[in-house]
Amino acid sequence: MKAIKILITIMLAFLAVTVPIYWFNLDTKLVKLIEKPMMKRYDSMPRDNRL
Amino acid sequence: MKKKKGAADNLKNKTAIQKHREWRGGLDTAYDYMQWCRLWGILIKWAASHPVQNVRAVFRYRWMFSYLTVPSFFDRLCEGQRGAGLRGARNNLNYLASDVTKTLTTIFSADMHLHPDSKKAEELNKRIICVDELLPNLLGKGFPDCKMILFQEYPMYLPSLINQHSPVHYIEQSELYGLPADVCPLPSFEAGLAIEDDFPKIGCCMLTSNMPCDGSIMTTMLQERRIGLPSQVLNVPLRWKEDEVQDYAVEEIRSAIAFLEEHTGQKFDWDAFKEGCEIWNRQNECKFEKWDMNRTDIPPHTGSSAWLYRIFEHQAVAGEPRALRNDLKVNRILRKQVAAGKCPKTIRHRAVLWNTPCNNYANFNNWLLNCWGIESVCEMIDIHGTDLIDTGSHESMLRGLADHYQTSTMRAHTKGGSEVMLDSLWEKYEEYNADMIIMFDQISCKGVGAINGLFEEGAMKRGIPMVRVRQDLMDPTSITRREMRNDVNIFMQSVMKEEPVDASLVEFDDDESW
Ligand code: SF4
Repeated sequence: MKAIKILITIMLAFLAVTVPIYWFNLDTKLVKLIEKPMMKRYDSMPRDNRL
Repeated sequence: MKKKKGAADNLKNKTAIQKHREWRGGLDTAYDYMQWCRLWGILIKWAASHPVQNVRAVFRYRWMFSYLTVPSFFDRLCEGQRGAGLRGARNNLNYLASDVTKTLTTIFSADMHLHPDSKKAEELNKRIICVDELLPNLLGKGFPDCKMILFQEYPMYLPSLINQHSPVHYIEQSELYGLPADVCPLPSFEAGLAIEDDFPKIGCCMLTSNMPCDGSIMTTMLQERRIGLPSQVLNVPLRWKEDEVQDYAVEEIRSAIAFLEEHTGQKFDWDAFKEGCEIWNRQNECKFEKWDMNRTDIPPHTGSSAWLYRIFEHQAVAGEPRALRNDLKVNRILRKQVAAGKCPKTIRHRAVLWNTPCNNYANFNNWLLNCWGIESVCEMIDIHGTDLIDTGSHESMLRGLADHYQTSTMRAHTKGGSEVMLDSLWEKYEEYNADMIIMFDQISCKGVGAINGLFEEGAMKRGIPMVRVRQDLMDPTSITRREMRNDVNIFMQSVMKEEPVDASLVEFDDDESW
């Protein structure tokens, strides 16, 4: 009984966290936020372009 | 009266990021959510397996940023999908994600950029064979103790589909380096990666090729200078319909096998290769069944997720048991819907899409269907490597493999003469009971550009409505997604005199979208 209760709680917690992330597309919005700083980093890396 | 909301009303201006994920009805939304969870499970498993190495890879390689946008990419490829179409697409895409993450782990574990002086990485590299991404890696099944990796697939081809802006920086680098600006963006992107030293440093040897065209041959030279591995060219005949070239094609493969044996120290395993060919034949049979279903009034397996998966399967996972299991599962799902006679989408036109599709607008098919009700029942890029391999003898398997190469992605149609590029179009039009043609006018694919007039003449003679859509494969700075849509909009409004299925999708700004 206790194990079932724990399982249900875990499942509800999982849904409570993931459903809003899914529905409001928060994963995509977060990646969009880090795009500019990442591009800045790539642009500032030293490169050896000699072939 | 309140204006009915369309799909584009849910997109943020310019970035086209969905304000919220799509409502597809209770069951389909729940299914989509579960598959999204599955995708994140795959990504988290990958990230957690080698956390330090993967973080370093993301910071080291510009193209790795594109992989962070994969959930959004999959959403775009599933836009508007319902029922079996959605289920098939999500299963294909998640299989693709699980295979790609596994390969990325192998690549980064061996990458001498990330692990300079590492003995472990050096050892791993002794078992990695790099091949040009346009050579399907079925041959690798004959070296079961090695891993054959499509060298440009992971830094170039997949990122160009996932994020339309990913090629731009690399194309600029190749132009700044002094290379001509009018070549196809695919080889330019590859050259830019070599110039920027952004290919992972992996492998013990490399098989290059003359595939698919002259642009790619040129860029191989630059890549070789950067990669510095022992290499051999596996030449694939152009006029592949001609019998006389087949002995030469087989000889080329024999010579490639000898080269690989020499550099890996492994003997070619014919039994393992035969097993790979048999699995590939079954994968192909699954594809034939999908095409049969698409010839019905309820085409269930269409669009970008179908052709993208087909290319990946043909090039990267031919002969892979897990890929076959995915195919069997997807076919079961599709069969059920066709048997039930359900068609959960608005189809006004059945179109054949011809010529190379546009990587920087991979979800163009979804837009065609959602905006104008144009269903892509048949696509040129989907039809390659369709001959079954006779596994009766070593010789017959090599002949089958030679054919598999010659009818590979882009090669099957863009090379090989007018009967495969031109005549085949009219045959497919009849076969799929189509009522219009979408002709991609890939402005830098000169071989096909030369026969554009013949397509037009042929369509006019047969009274077939044909719309030409300009695109530049993977360079959104020459032709934008909006311009591609506009070519269709003008045709549908002025020639076909039709109203859109979803008016919000006719004109919207997604120039900054991935
Ligand atoms: S699109 Fe045309 S020019 Fe570009 S790589 Fe393919 S065959 Fe070559």
